[in-house]
Amino acid sequence: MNFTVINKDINVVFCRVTAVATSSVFLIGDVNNVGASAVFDTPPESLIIGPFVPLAPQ
Amino acid sequence: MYNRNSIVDAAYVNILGFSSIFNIGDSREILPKANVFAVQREAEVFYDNEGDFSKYDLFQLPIPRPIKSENVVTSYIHEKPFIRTKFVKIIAVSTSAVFHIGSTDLIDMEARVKHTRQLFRPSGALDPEEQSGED
Repeated sequence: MNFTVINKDINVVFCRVTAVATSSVFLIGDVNNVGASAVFDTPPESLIIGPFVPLAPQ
Repeated sequence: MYNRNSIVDAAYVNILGFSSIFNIGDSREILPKANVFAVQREAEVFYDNEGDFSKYDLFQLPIPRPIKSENVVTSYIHEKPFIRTKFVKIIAVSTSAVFHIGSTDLIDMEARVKHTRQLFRPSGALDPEEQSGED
């Protein structure tokens, strides 16, 4: 498959961003390849009720 | 590949944290990685020996990658050789995130976050719902 991109004039005056977080990208420029992966885990067993104990001690 | 030039008159970043990157200028490869073990406790208790990443599959398992099924031949025509921005204001960049002014070839980011909440009950004390006998 052939794919052609024509980039015209870009002129931004003001850009306000609150947060760029957890493997995300804010790019002013060109890029060939971006890979962004985020693994997020909050299972039901992540709520522990009991006396305080160290979790996964080393 | 021929890249455009990025022109930013002024940039303001308030917070930059946890394996994140603010880059001015061109780069070849950016590969940030962050492992986070987030524990929220009912009281301010901190154990300095906890959080062994090797005990959780979340931090070990490989992340699946998309499979390229078709070969794509791309060509670029840059009618204007500049990307202009007068002012950028960012409050925070965090947890293997990237703010990049300029061109790059490859960005590969990875963030793994495990959340745990711990509520305090002394050993032997029953949950109030359990004591009432209701489901």
